[in-house]
Amino acid sequence: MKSKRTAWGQSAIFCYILILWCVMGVAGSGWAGDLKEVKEKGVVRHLGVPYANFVTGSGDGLDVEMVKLFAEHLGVRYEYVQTTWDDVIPDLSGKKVRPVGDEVEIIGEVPIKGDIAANGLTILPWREKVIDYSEPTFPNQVWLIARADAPLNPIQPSGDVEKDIAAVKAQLKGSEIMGMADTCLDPVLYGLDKTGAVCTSFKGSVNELVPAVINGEATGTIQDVADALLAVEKWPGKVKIIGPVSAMQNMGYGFSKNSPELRAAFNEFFKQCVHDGTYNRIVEKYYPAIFNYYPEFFEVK
Amino acid sequence: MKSLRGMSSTSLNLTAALVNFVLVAYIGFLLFAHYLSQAELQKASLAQLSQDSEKRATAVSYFYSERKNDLRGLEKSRAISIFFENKALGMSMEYGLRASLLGISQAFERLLQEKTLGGDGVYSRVVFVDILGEVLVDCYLDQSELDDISDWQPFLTPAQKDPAILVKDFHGALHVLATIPYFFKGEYAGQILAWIRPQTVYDHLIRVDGSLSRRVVFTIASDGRRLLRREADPSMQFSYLPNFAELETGRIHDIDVKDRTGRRERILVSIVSIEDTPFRLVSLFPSAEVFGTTAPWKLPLSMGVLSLFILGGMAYAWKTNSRNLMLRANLEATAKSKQEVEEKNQQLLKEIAERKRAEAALAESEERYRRFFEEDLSGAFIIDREGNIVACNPAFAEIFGFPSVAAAKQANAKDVYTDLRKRQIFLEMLKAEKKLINHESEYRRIDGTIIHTTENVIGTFDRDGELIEIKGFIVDNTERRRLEGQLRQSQKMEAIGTLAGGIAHDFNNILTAIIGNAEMALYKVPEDDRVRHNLEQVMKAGNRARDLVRQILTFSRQSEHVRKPLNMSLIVKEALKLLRASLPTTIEIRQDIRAESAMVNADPTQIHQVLMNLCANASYAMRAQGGVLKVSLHSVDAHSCPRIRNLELPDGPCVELMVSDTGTGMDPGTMERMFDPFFTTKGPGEGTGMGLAMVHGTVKSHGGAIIVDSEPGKGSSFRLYFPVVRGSAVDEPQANIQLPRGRDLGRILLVDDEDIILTTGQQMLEYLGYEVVIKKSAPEALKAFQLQPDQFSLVITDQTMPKMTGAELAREMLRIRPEMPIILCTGFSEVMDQEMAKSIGIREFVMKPFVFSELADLAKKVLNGDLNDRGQTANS
Repeated sequence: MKSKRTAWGQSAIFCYILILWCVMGVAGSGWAGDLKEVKEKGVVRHLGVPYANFVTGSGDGLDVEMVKLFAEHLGVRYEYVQTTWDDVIPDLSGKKVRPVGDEVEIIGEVPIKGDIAANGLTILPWREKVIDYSEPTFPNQVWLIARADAPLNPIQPSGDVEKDIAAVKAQLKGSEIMGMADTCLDPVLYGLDKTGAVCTSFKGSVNELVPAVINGEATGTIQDVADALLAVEKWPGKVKIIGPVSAMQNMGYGFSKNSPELRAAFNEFFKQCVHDGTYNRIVEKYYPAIFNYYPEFFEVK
Repeated sequence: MKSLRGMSSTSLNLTAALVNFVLVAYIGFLLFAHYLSQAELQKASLAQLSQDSEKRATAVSYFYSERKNDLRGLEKSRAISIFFENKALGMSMEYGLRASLLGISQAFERLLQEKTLGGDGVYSRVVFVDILGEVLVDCYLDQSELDDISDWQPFLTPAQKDPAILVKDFHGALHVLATIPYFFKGEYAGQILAWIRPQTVYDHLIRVDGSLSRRVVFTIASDGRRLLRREADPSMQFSYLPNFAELETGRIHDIDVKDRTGRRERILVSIVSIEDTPFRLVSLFPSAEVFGTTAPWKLPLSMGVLSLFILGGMAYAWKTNSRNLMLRANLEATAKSKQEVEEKNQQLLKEIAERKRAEAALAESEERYRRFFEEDLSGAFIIDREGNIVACNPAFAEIFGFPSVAAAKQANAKDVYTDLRKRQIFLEMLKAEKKLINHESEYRRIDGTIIHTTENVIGTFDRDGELIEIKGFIVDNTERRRLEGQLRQSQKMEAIGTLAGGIAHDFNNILTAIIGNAEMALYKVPEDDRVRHNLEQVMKAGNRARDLVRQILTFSRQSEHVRKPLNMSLIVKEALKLLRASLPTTIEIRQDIRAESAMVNADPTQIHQVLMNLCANASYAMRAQGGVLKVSLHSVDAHSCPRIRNLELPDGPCVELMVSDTGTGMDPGTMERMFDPFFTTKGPGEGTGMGLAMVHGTVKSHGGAIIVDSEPGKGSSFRLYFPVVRGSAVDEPQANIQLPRGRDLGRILLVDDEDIILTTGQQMLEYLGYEVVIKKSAPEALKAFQLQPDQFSLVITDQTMPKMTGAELAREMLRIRPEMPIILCTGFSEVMDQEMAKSIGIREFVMKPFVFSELADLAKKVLNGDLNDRGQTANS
């Protein structure tokens, strides 16, 4: 009986994956703007969500400058298409999805609105099911930030990330941790909900998370490293970094799975920018502190 | 004498000795004063050098004071406090705290980059050390300048509060640091250390530039060691320098040293403390540069000896050079004189060149004005008070008909006046006005023709106001005057034509009634009735009035006349026959008819009338004295005769009809108005004033021209020119004046808006034997005709009627009955003539006022023609 159930379950998963790939490979074909179409239309559409200094919302940002340079490199016009964290993946892939662990569930189709998603987009397994990523463009880790007067103490680094994560989680019982569901800042992704902490999802924008914590709406929140560093610089003495809740991650630029040539062209362009120092100059403009933490990532080889 | 000479010589010697003594004393005084001033100068130089050293020390002190302020600024930097605030929260370097150091680094980097002196960086390194002696932030410009410091504890000064300038010895080299302790929330938290570049301080605040002096200035530490590296130390040019730390500050020391060549030398040393720093400023001056190489007393002595030599030399030189001076003075005077002569020559040459240039310019100017004068299209002239033509240009000669300018200069202005009284008037006007603008005159050319001119003249007068000469320009306006005359005549004709057209219609209607009724009455009155004479007078007056209207229309060229090829000689001869009987015997008629076969296209009646009018005027002009009336007819060529060349005649041959008399003639005023309508010189009742107006109108309407010559007391001549045409003469048909009286001759529809015309016409036509139906308007007539178109034999209608014209009525009737005979009558109409009437289908066109016999004949002619046409139509 048990083996029958297992066989049935395996078949179901197989069918699920088969259907998923069919939907992504067939239904989505022809919607995405690959390199040829982008050049024919003469425009590259940048899907962006205002977030930290990746997309500032004021017309600039690390990713905005990079995509503009890429458009210039292709000889096409740059067009910014604002979206939300909920819609950025659907707007790029044409599919409305719901993350289920590291998998996704297709729940509908939507019109494709952009060619590149770039706004500090963390490379997550469930996202990779729906879109393709460029080579990693920015290092990342998710840290826990708390109010200065919160009963959480910054950990002392042990030299082992896993131990440091455990030390952070060990303090969380009873704390209210605010994140954003279905994003890389979802506390569930990092198992914070299993630490005894009360995990809530913030309804505002990512940039408003830390101010919400300072205002007492939660004990703490989780932030990408780059954003956490900006937070302690912006509000010194009001927030403190407790420690990591995730292992090292990377960010990348998202592409439709139907745009392999566009993605390849970007990877080549990005490689060139790193090599000639263009990329580091732009990163230093928006995240100067990041070089102190991940110098090896930005080392020009 | 000898004694006297000896006394004189002794006296002179004493005087010379006295003079020499005074001179030597004076020189000695000068030398002593110079010695004193030299000593004072040396003292002042020392004081100035001391002041300079103190100023440099003050500048260096201020510089280091600024550096302390720099560190105070860093100490208050928000970036450092952020780090310690985050650190106080327990954050670790690995997780966030390290990022806070970035702000401190940025602040330090700004200090390194922004603090400069003359473009050179002030700092070489800035370090933040925590209380454990750990370097948290280390910013530097050049890694090669870094010192390998393993222990930072000696740099920590927790006991101090204020910034300080330190001198540290690293591996034998002195380094200058500015340092300040950092306190976070009152607790000592670290130390800020900033390395200052001594070389920058030396280059921009201490070094002596731009001088030939060997003076050097440098700083030393409290122990006397130099801050600059050995290779950059300016004091290295001296050897055996003492330890400056041992020398007292605030005064100048005079010491012996050796230069690099080993030569001994005295130098002055000034040592000044630099306030608030551990440094002293040392200035080294070679003594010789301040005091010189010679002692002050040596110079006056040398100068004294030298002065004695000079005095002796001067005495000798005075004696020997006095002669040379005189020679030189003479030489200089000669040279000066020579130079003055040369300068005058140069001036002269310059003046000659200037004069030549001026002469050339003058000649060019004169040539330009001469050409302007010669080529001027208007006649330019200068005439003296006697009328002699002093100067004139070709245009002037041409205006007056002189063959050349030279011929004109031979003439006198009085020769060209038509009346010398006019010249006198002209001179009086000029004397009064000084100049005359657009003055119009009349002159006689040398060929006798009169010209009309416009002049601008200005008179030159002497002191007494007497005229010396007249200068001016003259323009021949004869042609313009002639054209203006033609224009005036055309305007007059146009005006009278408009008037004539306006009255002719009504006037002819009235005359039609008068003549018609008178004629009717004459037919009805017996031959022996006394009333008959009265009726004949009415007829006579009516006919004269009719002729007058025709003459008015002829003058204004609005009358209808039939022109045809005509032998002019026959008309002339016929008219002369008629005239002969009417002219008094005191008038002799001479005729010269040569153009026997010349044909012109003319109305014989009008030509006859023209000749009669001209001869009548000639007769009137000779009525008192008698005279000769000449009538001639010649063929002429318009191009061969200069006088008629400019007349408005067509190309080709012409006939000239001339009528001249030897009567009273006309003055210019009369000639100007002679063609004006109603202008007459005759007395009341003797003339209408339309005679010459009719002549003018007739000639113009025939395409001809008139030339009139007249002179009071000598008579007048009228030359009429008509263009000749080819063709043969057409005989004039004789009118049938027999009245066609009968019975039941036909039914006539008579249409006119004038009651008197209707009544008169009805009576006349009924008297002739016609049945007459009268209608007062065209619509009424058309209505009656539409009802019974075949009941009328003839329609006689007026042309000018309200609502509908006679021509329009005729068109409508002919549309109903195309063969209907219609006679159209009109007093005057600009829009209708005989040809136009024929083109509509109207049989006859008759001008009012018509006489009874004409109407009877016309009605009979139309009706007979109609009958004939009908008969032919029936036969065909």
